[in-house]
Amino acid sequence: MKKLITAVVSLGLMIGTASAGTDVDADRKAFVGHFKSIKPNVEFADYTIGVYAYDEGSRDQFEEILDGIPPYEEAVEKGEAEFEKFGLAKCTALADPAAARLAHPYYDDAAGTVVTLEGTIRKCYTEQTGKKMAPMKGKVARISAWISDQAAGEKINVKVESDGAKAAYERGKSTFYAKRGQFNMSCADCHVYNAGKKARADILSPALGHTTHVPMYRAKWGGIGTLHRRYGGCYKNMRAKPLMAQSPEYRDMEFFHQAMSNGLEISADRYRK
Amino acid sequence: MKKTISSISAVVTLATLFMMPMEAGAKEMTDEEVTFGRKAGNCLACHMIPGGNLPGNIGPPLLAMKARYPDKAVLKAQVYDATVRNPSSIMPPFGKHGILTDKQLNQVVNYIYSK
Amino acid sequence: MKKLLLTTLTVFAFSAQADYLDGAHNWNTGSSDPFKAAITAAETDYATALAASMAWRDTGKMIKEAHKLQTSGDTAAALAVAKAAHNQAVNALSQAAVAGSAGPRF
Repeated sequence: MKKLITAVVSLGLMIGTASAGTDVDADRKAFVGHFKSIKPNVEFADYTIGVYAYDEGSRDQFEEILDGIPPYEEAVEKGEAEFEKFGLAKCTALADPAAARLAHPYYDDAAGTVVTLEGTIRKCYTEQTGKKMAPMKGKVARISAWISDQAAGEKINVKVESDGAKAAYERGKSTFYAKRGQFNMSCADCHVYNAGKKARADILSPALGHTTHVPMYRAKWGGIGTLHRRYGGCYKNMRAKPLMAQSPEYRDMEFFHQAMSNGLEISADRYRK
Repeated sequence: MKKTISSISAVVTLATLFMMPMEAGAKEMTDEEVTFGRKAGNCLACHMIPGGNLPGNIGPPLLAMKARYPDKAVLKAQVYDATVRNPSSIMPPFGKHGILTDKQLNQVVNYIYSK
Repeated sequence: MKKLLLTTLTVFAFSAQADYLDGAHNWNTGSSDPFKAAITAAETDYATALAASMAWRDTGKMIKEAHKLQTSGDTAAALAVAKAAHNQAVNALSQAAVAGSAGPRF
């Protein structure tokens, strides 16, 4: 019990003090600088294709898949049909799909919470149909993928302005860098410090650019899934108990994660191994 | 209520299925199997080890371990909890976090010490 | 939904332990029962780790497994699993204690 109280109190203290020194652009420059130092020959703009910017052989395979009929094409088309069918354009926040992708994630000061694109899609779906939408795959991923396609070529530009936004960003940042699970690894341990190295035969993808092509199609999934589905998978691999997709913690982490990719182009090439 | 009961029995069945073969298998595993096995040490995920296929390169190659660790106990301590020497080490604390049993730790240390 | 199920399961686990199993098997009446001490410690610390969103993947399964072994009479194995589960939860709480201050090394 004492421990719980200590944990809650220290969390409270953190929220209170976190925003004071937040400088997102300085963080982002240091983040990009780190990748430049481990991979001096990879251009910043190429991080939009992520791990494929690191390995020529994998890049060739990737481009071959894109040259044919990508395995997610049908799902994205279905997402468009579903967007129409459920009347999602009637929600102001989604009326202009390209603008919607660019506006998310954002911090809603009135609600005191980070709002993700999937969160807005699910809310709108409920308003229009009276039903709930599952947060990890299926409809939400298809619709989000189609919406994101409309903003392809535009640059990610997450804004972290108010004190509340800064506190959410700092919480997301510590979630990203904290070691967790039986394996005691953080997201950053693999996808920042060891990006480009191999775990067995798999090349660890760089966190820079991760959010340019979400929701993604994964060969391992045999379908498309949201960023939060991937977070859950990573947690499980580290033998940590995954949190719920769209939980406050994952939304805060997405806020940080997307902000680190500010300036990179959003891509419709959503295939990943 | 019925649903709850059926979920519980499902979980229990799954847990049993999971734990039994692991326990049974662990007893018979050779030093090499514990070191290479994906559900055991899985050292190859990050380290090159002579004789192992498709190694990762996150950690250093496990070569000349006798020269690098004249005291075998220091090597075991490193596998037990690498964060003692380097708090930010990516290496899982195999002993401290109960990923491997003490017997399995000794098997891994014996195996890589021979390399 | 998952949360609801989890809560239900937890509540069921507790009430089953208190009302049904106790009466039927009468195995944890003694206050010095080492299994009861270990499983209570595991459950308490696991709940705290869950609340901090820092729980480990398998701790919940291990707690259930420990109860099952205890009910089936395999008390030695039950105690070992309960202790292992507690060890997991304690390590998770150590991670939670430093998680809030985690940041980049560059």
